[in-house]
Amino acid sequence: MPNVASLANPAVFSRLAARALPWLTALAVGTLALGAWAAFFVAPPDYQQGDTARIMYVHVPAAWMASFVYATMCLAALGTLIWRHPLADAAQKAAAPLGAGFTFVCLATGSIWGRPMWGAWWVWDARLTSVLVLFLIYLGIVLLWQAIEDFSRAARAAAILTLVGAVNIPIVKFSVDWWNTLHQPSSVFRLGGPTVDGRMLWPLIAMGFGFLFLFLALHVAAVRNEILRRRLRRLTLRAADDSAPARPMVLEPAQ
Amino acid sequence: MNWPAHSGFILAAWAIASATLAGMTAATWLDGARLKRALARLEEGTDGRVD
Repeated sequence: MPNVASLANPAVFSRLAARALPWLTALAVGTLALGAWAAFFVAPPDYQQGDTARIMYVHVPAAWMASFVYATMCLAALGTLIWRHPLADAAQKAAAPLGAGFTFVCLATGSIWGRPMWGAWWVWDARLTSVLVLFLIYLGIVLLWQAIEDFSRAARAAAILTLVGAVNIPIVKFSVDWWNTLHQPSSVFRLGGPTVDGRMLWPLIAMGFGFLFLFLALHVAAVRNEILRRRLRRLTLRAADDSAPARPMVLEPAQ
Repeated sequence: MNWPAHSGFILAAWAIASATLAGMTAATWLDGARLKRALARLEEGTDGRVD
């Protein structure tokens, strides 16, 4: 079993990724299939919202992942700025578009759920607004990586932006407690335990694990892609160097 | 079949979520496949001299 430090070696990481990916993919597909089946055929309709509450089984796991991926990126950002871990910046870069995707799912499904329940596609409520800000931060980080060509400068800038944006994560979590929001308060991760009925809770947890395994599989694959991209860049530069004709040295006469 | 109330909203939410997750998966997989192809071409050209 390799220790954590040896994972810093891209070759070791790529080998481990090749072994882990089929398992993570199978776990993701299995738990998502189980969760989707249970969401439609096992979980009862909500006593107030009826079948519309079945949107919860994609909305809530997406919301959990939106924050979880950001927390992962914060760890990677610390890895870049403090420990200068060789794979930390690759992990951070790979996670940003995935986090943006989960946050988009959270916002879109929440909006679709809000229309029949609240009578509005969108309200400028503290929870919705803070999640929209989270989505914009994700997009900002993705764009920052695209905008700066020098890899180490891009990594440092993205790490700083990620850590500054981390202030929004507790706001997302506690907005429903701090302000009077239209969005309901937490019903799963709360002091005193979940308030969701067990027959609805386990399909929700299954979908949560499905989303988590999917993220892990995609993240491992995306970090491996990042390693390949750097290798490709190195090789392209070397090939360009090798094929460049030797320039004759021209000595300019002194003026 | 008796469709539940708001079934259009339920289907739309699940469809958007599935399409987005499938899109993320496809994008990651295609990126990897493209990079592997490009690397294989380059490594052929450099006779396998890679670090």
